[in-house]
Amino acid sequence: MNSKLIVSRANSETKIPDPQILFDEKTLLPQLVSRRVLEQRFIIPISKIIPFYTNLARGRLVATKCKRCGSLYFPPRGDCSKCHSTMMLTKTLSHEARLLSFTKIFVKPSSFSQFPDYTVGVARLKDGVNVLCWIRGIAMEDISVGMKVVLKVERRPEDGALEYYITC
Amino acid sequence: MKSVAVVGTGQSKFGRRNDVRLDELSWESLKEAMEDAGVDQADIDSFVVSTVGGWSAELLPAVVVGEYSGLEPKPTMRVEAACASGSAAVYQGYTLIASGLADVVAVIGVEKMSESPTPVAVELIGRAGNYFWEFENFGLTFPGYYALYATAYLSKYGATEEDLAMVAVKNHYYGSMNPKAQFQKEVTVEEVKASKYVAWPLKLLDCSPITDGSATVILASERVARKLTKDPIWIKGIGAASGTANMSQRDDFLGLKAARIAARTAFKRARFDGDPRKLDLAEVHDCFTIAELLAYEDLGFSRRGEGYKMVREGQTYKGGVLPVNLSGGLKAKGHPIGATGISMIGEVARQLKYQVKGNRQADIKNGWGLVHNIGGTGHYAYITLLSQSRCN
Repeated sequence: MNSKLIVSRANSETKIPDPQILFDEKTLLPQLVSRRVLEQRFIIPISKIIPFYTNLARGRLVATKCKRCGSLYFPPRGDCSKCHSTMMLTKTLSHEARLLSFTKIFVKPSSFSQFPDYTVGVARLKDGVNVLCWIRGIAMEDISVGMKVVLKVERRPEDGALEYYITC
Repeated sequence: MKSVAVVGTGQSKFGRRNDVRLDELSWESLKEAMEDAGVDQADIDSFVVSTVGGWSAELLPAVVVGEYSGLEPKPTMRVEAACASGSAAVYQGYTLIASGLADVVAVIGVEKMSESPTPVAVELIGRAGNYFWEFENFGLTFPGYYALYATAYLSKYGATEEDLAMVAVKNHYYGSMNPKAQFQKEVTVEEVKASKYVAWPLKLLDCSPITDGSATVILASERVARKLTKDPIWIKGIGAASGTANMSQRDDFLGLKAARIAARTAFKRARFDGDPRKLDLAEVHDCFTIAELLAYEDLGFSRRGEGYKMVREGQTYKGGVLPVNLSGGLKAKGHPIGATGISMIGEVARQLKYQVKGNRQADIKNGWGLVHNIGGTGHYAYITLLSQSRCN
């Protein structure tokens, strides 16, 4: 764990008049706290998978199926890497599934710190594709590997994202 | 292909190293490795730098390290294969020499993870998979990915959280004897079981720590190696493979396919029959306790579903079938991502040369050692076989 940075007695001893030079609380070693701050937010193209979002908006989870060779893809995509075709059909997935594995995240990434601890699972749908997403509405002690689950699509209350999740 | 040997090794103290910058930290291990090999910068044809970065300030670590270490204008690059970056960098150095393009290559791994706050490091490692489909909406963490494997493994084979804890106990036991380890203290099964859940069923003491550190190996062609040392350690074969970025694309959560493929390739290239009794030691990628059990099975040390029995029976302590992670492993020695693989390869080379002090030194009977280094959650796999003798 990162310890705090403090102004220590050493500051006055070294006589360095820079407010960005601070001392580690535990080790008392001097650190320059960078002045340059970078915020990162990515802008990611979704042109090739627009049907995925339009179907999510209607409560459906879709995969893509190559019109030429029949390969089924989830996550959905616009290119078939097997036969090089770009003619992809939209295939609505069954919402019935079996749980392959799961975990509950207690130590969260900083960008998820506003969420309560969440449970994540991987389920195999009847169509044969796997989906990784959150598990909602099942108590941790009632979840087991191999159990029958269903998939639901809703707008996530916490952040408004169109979300698919596993439930019972 | 030409033969390639490890002729020098170096490693910094691992831990929270806020006494040094990235370039200063890498110099610690490079200096030690050059002195061990008896070479200086003029002898080095090329250097490869292994860093994952993101949490530390320098964007171009290779040239920053090169300038500080007096290696400029030698050719260089940064190599990234997540937590297997170090082995990937050794693979790059190995191919430079095996192809005849270089005679001496310094492979330097360095990571400064504590330059960012811990939640930022947790965030960045969690993004290491498929950001778009699995992180953006679901916020998985690195312990979370391996927890999916732990849940499926414990459920299928009847292993317990106590079995996982025994991996931590073993690795902390050896870490307690390693003066360069981040954690030099033993833990008990009870302490591991009582530690807080990070990603169920994995607890804090099932996890490797966030670490700063550097490690270097100096590689040389046979011609140069024979001049430098009486006991070069030969790289007999490296096998590598990749896995899917998305966890959802995995067939099961019981083993790492990339590790099995990489092992098969390495065994074939080294003309090694895969019998663990012919190895004197192995360093395996125990970023989480479950990962060590998967490694036993993926490498063929045990049958599928029986890896936990090896740790239950103490078969991977010294005196057992095969001692594993005598360095303390990632678990206790620490896991400075880009330096890890190089540290593992350096450890096995030092073990094969009887350079390890005290009770951590393995009994060397056959002169063979193995390094199993995984990037991400089986996203990358590198298996390296080392031997005292050039010919089988």
